[in-house]
Amino acid sequence: MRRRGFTILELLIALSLFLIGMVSILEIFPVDRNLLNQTMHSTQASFLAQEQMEQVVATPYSSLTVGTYLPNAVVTTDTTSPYSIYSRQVTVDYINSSYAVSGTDTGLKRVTVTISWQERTFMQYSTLTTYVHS
Amino acid sequence: MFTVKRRAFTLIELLVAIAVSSILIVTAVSMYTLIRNSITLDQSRGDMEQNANIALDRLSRDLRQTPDVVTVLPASTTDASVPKPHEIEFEDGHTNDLTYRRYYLNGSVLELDTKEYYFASNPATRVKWNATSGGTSPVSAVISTQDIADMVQTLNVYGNDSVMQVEVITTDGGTQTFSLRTTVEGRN
Repeated sequence: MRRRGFTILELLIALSLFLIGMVSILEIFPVDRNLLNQTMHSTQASFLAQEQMEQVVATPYSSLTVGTYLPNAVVTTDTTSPYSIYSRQVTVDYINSSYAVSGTDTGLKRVTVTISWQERTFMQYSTLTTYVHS
Repeated sequence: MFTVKRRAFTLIELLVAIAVSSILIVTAVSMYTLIRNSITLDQSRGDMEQNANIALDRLSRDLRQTPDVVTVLPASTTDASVPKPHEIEFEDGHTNDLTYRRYYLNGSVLELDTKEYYFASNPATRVKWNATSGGTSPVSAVISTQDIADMVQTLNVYGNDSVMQVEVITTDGGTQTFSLRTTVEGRN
């Protein structure tokens, strides 16, 4: 007599499909977590950029030397600090009246603060730009 | 005798069925728990970030405008000569009505008091916090209080009247914390 029912093979296939589906859903969570980490790092980075910008803006125009004004350096050497993953660099360019980089001083400088950090496998950057006039 | 073939599950079939459905149920329940925990955790991380962001944004914007800081601040994170105040009071630089702003922690809530100082003999006239009259100091009164942010664990301010480093650390009440730091150069 042919009995109606699932064979063990069918059952195993069904179970594996179910589990594969479940695991795929679970995979969303690490992705979500990483995105959240990225946003939190971006927020920290923009405040650290603002911190540097405050100091630059308080500096007189003539003291802002064109080129790499402050070379890329870690924000803090204290490795226990949550800010130790960030590096900061400040560049200054001469700018002409149409906001394009200029070879000569026309009385306007552009200051760019760049924060960089390692986000798992890739580098992330956050920049803040302002213009300073003589 | 039993000549009729009885239709029924065998014991083995039943056990297999129970085992399979147990696997399904356990998987489903643990997934549900995992997802719920994950959502709760992610939500509190988002909240920590929002609260720290708001707190530091509001505080640094106000501090940037202030002409005068009342609270005695340690010069830096390593300066132990002054105790870390975990609060800051300063003159409001947005208005010219001689009011003071004080950010402080009430439990986990960062609160902002708007204050005024006056001599007891003349409550109608506001004076500076460090004014003196005939050897007496002014008394202070809180005009209003507002909540700025929640989940705040620590508020740190270092520096002097013109350059201040501000740090806000938020927590979800458990093991997660989120730190934000910036520096403010006084404009006034």
